[in-house]
Amino acid sequence: MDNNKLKKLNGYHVVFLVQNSMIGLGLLSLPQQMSSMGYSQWWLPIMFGVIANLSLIPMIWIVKRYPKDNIFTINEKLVGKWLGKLLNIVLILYLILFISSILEGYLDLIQIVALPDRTIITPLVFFFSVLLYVVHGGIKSIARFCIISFFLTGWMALFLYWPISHGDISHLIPVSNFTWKEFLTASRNGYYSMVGYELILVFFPYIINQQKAFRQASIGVWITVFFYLAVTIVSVMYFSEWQMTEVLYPILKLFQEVELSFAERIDVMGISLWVMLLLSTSAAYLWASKKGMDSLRANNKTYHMYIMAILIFIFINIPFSKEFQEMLYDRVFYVKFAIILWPNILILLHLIRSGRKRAKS
Amino acid sequence: MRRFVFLTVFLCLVFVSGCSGELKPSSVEDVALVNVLGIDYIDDNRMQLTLAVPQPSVVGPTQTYSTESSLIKEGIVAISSQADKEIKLNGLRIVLIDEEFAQSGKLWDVVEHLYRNPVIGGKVLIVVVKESAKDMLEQEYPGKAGIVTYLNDLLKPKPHNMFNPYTSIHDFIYTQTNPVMDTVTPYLELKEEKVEITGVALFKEKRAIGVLNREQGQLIKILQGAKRLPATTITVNEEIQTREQVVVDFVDSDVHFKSNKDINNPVLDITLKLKGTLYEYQGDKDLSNSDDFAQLEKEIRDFMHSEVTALLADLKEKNTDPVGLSENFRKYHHGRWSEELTDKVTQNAEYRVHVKMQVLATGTIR
Repeated sequence: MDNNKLKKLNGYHVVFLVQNSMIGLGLLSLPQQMSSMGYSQWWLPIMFGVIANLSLIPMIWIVKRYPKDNIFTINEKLVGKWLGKLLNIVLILYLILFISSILEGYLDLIQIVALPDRTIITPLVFFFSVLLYVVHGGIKSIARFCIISFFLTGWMALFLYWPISHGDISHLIPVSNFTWKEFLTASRNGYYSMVGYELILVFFPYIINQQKAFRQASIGVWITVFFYLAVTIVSVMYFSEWQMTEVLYPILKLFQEVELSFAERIDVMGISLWVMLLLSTSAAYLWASKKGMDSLRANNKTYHMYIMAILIFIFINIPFSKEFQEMLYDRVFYVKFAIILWPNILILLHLIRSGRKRAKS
Repeated sequence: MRRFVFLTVFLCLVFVSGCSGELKPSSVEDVALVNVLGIDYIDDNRMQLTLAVPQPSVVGPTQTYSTESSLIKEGIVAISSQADKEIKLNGLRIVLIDEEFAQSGKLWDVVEHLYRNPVIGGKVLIVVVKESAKDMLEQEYPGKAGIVTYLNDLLKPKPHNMFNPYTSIHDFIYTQTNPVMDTVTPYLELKEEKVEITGVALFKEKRAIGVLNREQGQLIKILQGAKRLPATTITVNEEIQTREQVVVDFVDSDVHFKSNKDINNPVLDITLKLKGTLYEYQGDKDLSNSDDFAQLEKEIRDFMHSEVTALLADLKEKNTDPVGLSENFRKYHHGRWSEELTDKVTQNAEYRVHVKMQVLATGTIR
């Protein structure tokens, strides 16, 4: 086995790790998030793809300069030990908050759709057992899990056939029927679903062929864009603008349109299968937060993962008020935005540092 | 040792979870799965709620429960206290609405409640009934397996009732909230010991405003782009001496709209391409003669043209648009589209109907 080797992720692993850490809870409500643009929203995923791809460039650039370090170590090296650690603490808190927000969102949905007369604590415990099991195997185990969850859930795109045949393609025009304000609101809310690819900052040292990492990560990003685009176009065809604004989980309603002679309520099955996507996303994030903890304490211990998991579990079960929660999860967006832009600052610091070094020598 | 601990914990989790009282689900015997929901108008604040639950054949065909309430959930709670089983809406298939309730404009609240409820599937049909939904559900139907099965079979898509719009909850919400469209639903009548789909209920915004007959329902389906339609009887000449009757089965139809993109002087070209086979013909024409055949094709074309034109004039007069004709103007319009713009377009529109008819076959004899 390759447990003792540092480099263990091949090209496929990178593609699906990037792709599956992006698709999670976000896709379930993506058309609703972008509803301020009405029917004209359908092309936004393409723009998101371009932005994501562009923002990958500085990420890969900086990690290539430090091929054996992840973002946490790079922070400490470039910003300084204490400031770096402080930043890392913020990053870890963000990761905990992010995992909590997606898990809570998904469990709420499961409670509404699949298990209306039960409390959510038991499914949560089961979810955590599987999550810990996956993360326990390290990044390669997560990458393999991402591949399997892609194949277990990707085929559900076929269910879009029914809403397509029921929808009206003329909703796709006019393409530019929106104001700047609507466009900015939709982009801000929609881009929330795109994040996840920034985890490459953490798992980059594990990639076997680091030279090709950018290409592989880009393929992952564009697979995600393909799914987002498909769902958004079909939603625009199938729903009225009112429905796009009011229906919280449009995919649920799209699945309800499916008519099969041998199965009913495909929506419940689809939402239950979605757990694979949630598991792969949260496993990648949990692993990243564990790596953050490792770098904070300067040692690599398995129990760091359990501490993280317990913190997330506690956080989900603290009865915050709905307003506070929404405010908190909304603020997480700005942290995400900062993380995506952060590599640019790091590049600047790196250039200053190497300039100084050169001047000294 | 680790493996032993893991196995023990795993087995405990799997097998002991069944002992949890909280996880105990209701068994099928204890649940009354409502299949048809009937709503009748009492006054502006109250409605008569009737639930039909299919029974196992040994017990009886159908069980119905009825109560008065102002909200759906309130009614179901009230019915639960008279029912011997737990009432569940998970198996709901059909919602029957009496005409008066549909006219009152309160139907939106009911359907929105059902649309919000995640246990209810998206395929539930909304149907308007002429008199009382309660009477329809409680009536005995000799020779039928019970109202639930009867209605489900009746409202299943079949080649001969393709005029039926099959309005599901999604379709209802979609057409109600889409400013370019108005809602249509199937319209049922109780006739002695039978239920018949006699037409299509027509809405303007939230209220039902009238009923179209089956032929008009079929034309709406053609204009909405339906491909396959049931056989239609066409009377070519009304005068008794020269009267001709043709039954045409439309095997393929296609519709194409072209607007002038001007909402101030709207002009819409509607091109219908119909292909059909002749089922039956009564008249003096010799169908093996190409001139007669071409003449008949022309007559059918003229008939369809006049029918479509008359329907569009009727819809214009009623100020409603179930086809969504104004979509052909919305898609070229910048800015938010509203009901007012739809009204403006449909009221001022000039419709130019073009029909292309092709008779493919006339049966196996000359």
